[in-house]
Amino acid sequence: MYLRSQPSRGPTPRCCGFTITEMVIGTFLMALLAVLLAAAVATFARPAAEVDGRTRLALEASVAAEALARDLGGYLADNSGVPGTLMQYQFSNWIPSSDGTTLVLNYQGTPPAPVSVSVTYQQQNYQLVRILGNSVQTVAVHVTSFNASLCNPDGSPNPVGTCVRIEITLTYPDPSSPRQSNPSFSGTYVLIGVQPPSLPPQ
Amino acid sequence: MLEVQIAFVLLGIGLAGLCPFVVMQLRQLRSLESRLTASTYVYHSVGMATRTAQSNQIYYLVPWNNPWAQKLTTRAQLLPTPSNTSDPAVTSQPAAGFPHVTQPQAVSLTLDGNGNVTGVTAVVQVN
Repeated sequence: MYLRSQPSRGPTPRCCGFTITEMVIGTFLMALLAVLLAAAVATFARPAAEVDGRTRLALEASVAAEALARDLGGYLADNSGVPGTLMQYQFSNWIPSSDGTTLVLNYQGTPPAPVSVSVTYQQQNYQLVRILGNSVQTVAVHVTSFNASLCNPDGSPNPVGTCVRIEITLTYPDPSSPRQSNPSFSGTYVLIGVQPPSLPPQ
Repeated sequence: MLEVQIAFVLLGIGLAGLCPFVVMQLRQLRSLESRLTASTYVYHSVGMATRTAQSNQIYYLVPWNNPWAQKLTTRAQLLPTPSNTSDPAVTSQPAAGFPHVTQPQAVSLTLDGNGNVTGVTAVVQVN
């Protein structure tokens, strides 16, 4: 009698790698995490970028308004510590250009200074600049539009109005910025300059 | 695979940690914008339609009525109205003639919580 040898029925060695089911589950979990990550970025990164842009606009608008408020206060700021008399550097008038891109503020000079001193506001290369004599100061950046026109106290346009309406549009990032991707923010600020009261008669 | 998932979870936790900072920045931005609000805002955000917000807010640059206040502060008031009711009009000349005034120290402004000027302190010498 011959016994036929039987193949061994012991435990077979496990193959390396993973099954198709494991791969599907892994892919599903990865997709789920990616969705969660995208939602987290949209929730936190977008407001952070918005805060950045809006803060820059608010700061630039604030400094522009401060500069205009200083020059529209009735007098031109003189050398510190020497206010002089009430006649010196008193505000005379404002002259917006016909196209509104330039605003000239005239003040009474004092000897030996010129009889009249002029301060000019205008937009240059996405900057709002203040020009006094040969001095050019950058008041605000990210300026995409500057417009000045005469108006009534309620802001309605009037070529012979007693007030001046100043519209400043700020955009971040502005067209000159190397960063030209979204998001971008723009704000238009409207300021109305009121004539200073005339000195009462003596 | 497990390491990648753990990394994603940790990144998510890190992003969630940014939440208090974003909220703090938003509050400070609100405070900053409340001082000077734009008439029109236009937002272009990633993956969102362009948003336009109109407040039609107009600000007035109102000089002080007192000429010496103008002279010494040289700054107009930034107001939402054309006049300041707490700034009375000057009906008479504050001083006879035009005396020469020197200012031994800088003008100091008193601000309220919103940054508005509530008082002006100036020390002058009249010759």
